[in-house]
Amino acid sequence: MLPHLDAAYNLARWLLRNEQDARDSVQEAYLKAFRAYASFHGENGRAWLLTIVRNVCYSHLRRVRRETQPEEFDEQQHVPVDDSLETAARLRRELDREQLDAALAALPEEMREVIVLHELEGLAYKEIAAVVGIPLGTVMSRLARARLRLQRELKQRLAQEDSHELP
Amino acid sequence: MNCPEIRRLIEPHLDEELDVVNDAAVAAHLENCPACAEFALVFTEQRRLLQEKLTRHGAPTGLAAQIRAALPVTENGSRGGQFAIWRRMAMPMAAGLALAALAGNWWGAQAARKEILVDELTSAHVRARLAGHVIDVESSDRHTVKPWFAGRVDFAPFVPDLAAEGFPLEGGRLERAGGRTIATLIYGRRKHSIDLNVWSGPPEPANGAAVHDGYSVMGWRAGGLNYTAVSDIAPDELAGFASLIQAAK
Repeated sequence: MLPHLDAAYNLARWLLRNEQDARDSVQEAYLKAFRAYASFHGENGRAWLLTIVRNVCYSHLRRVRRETQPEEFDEQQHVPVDDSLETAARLRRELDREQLDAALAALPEEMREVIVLHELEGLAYKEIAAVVGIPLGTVMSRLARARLRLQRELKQRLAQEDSHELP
Repeated sequence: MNCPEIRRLIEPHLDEELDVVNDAAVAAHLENCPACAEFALVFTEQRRLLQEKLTRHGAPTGLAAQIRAALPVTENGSRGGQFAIWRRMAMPMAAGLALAALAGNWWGAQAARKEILVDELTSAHVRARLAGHVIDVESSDRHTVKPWFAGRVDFAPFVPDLAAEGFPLEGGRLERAGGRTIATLIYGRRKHSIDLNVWSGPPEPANGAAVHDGYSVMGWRAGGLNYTAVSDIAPDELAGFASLIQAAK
């Protein structure tokens, strides 16, 4: 019986964006958890384990980045702000799973991880603060920024689709 | 609160992460402001999209077995066999309490109950600061703070003046945690602050010092009341504060 295995794998898979790396990192994290069990005082097993998974993933990313070029994020995209209910409903109707996943994968890790922890794993702000190691107020503002950025990515994908449909 | 302030709190409101007072304020505003109500609807629609269509990657088959095979062999010969370890890690706190109570394990049940109480009081401390609702009655004068609680709680909290010792009184607020109505006194300490929670009723298990989610917690019982102080100052500093309160007359 290995508790929280799906949550651990989901976080690793989203951070590393690769199945084999995610498998290896989750295994390493469970071995670490097993050895470090003395330091666990029974507060919140899931948050404790996810903290270890996250640390393993980040050291993997640091190792890989040293060998390749660091990722560059284009913060200069200008998409008109459209916060209408109509657009929100249209996004929900027209975008498919593949487009959603691609949009989240395109986010910087610090934004990707809070969306994964909050929307997919259902962690409370306090648990996210513990896993990511940031103050609670930062969790709130980072979630808001991540959501905004993701909406922008999604709207861009919708716009691309519109232009493809033109004759 | 004005519309921009409300909009900042809509996400934590929908996440049920706000304190009682702010939560009620946001709910009331949404009833009367169509623009903010639409903002909340857009937000809900956006969130549904994420929850419906983002992939939650489940662990691939075989991964659990692969990990178990890599675990070190324990003394009794079974691999990673200390199942108690994984079981304890899997249990949410409330389940720990139910399990201990079922097993007739009084000490275990007390420990789990303490864990829940400390968690509630720490959450209250954090929530209040997150939403900027730390104080209901703002005053450094204990003769203002003490009467404010009359009619709000069923006891008269003792409000010592510790300004000379470096813990100026900042005010009070009403809290609810696990069915208890709590008088919370707020004391300052340099740039930090301390919640001193006081409530009546039977003795509760939150006594002694603890560190929870990085916050210092110190509980004791005196004069038929339960006291638990929560703060982000260091544990020994909070212990100093606790002994000053206990010594005050």
